[in-house]
Amino acid sequence: MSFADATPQEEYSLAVERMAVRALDALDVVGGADATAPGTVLGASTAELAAVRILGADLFAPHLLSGAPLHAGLAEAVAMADAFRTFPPEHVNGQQLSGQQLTDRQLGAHRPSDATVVGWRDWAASEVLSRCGLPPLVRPPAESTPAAPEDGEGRWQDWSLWMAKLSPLAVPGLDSPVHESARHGMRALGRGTVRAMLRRDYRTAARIARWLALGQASGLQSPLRLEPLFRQVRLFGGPSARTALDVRVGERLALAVER
Amino acid sequence: MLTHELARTTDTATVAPEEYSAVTSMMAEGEAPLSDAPLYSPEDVGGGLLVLGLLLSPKPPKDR
Repeated sequence: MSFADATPQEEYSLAVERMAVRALDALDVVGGADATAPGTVLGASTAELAAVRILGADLFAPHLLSGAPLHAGLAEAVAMADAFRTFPPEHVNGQQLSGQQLTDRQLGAHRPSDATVVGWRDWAASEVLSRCGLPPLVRPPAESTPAAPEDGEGRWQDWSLWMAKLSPLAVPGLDSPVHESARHGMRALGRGTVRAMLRRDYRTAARIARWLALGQASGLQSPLRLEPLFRQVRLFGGPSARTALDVRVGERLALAVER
Repeated sequence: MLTHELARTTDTATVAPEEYSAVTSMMAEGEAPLSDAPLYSPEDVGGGLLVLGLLLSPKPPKDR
């Protein structure tokens, strides 16, 4: 669907919502089998390819959560490879580099740039793609990953927000310095989630809570009870399918512990 | 498949810079800029209730 007077952001937002609904449907299929009908093409338009690129590794969440086999013939894998060709990492990442770095320098801040966020998300998507049998496309970002804040450190807000932006990495099977940082920062993640809930920013809360659920799934103690948290976000988080996908992935990760 | 081949004709040359920017900004989506959480201000509520109570309270009976 294309609108002559819609901005790319509006058009892509709609496409991402549709793609998230599709991923949610795939999650509901028992065993995480490919919910795509044979012959269905994902990413038939630029907006859909952009949506594939934006969702990144989340597109494969149904397979990763259920342990369903990944292969190069998956509609998701074909679409992701196309999306990387249409929106190459160097183009997408380069769009924000200059402005963001300037802002950081002016502020004197030592926080990771959005380019690093995009870099890690690209790495995650590329990593899953390589598990489908396709050649890896993206290396991990060169910029160092910020360590999890210690108790009493004031930077837990910025750090937890940064982790929220990296929520597509919070799926089983991926491991990186970001994951290591999350495992050491469960308390800071808990604080960030509570702050987002108090602000009624349910989308951010769900994204951070995914990391808590992943930590819990790997045997760590979550500082928050996740089941009522996700239920609250599901009830009050609005109609966004992206938020619903974050909630569903978090619930599935939390459920994996109880089994 | 004709549909499939038509769908794969997009290339980088057709993507405008603002489209790249849109993808970048949506990938690095931040928190909601404004919270709609109600702010707790008991002194405002208390003062308002006091004035309202005074206005609505019946006058004491006059002694003659």
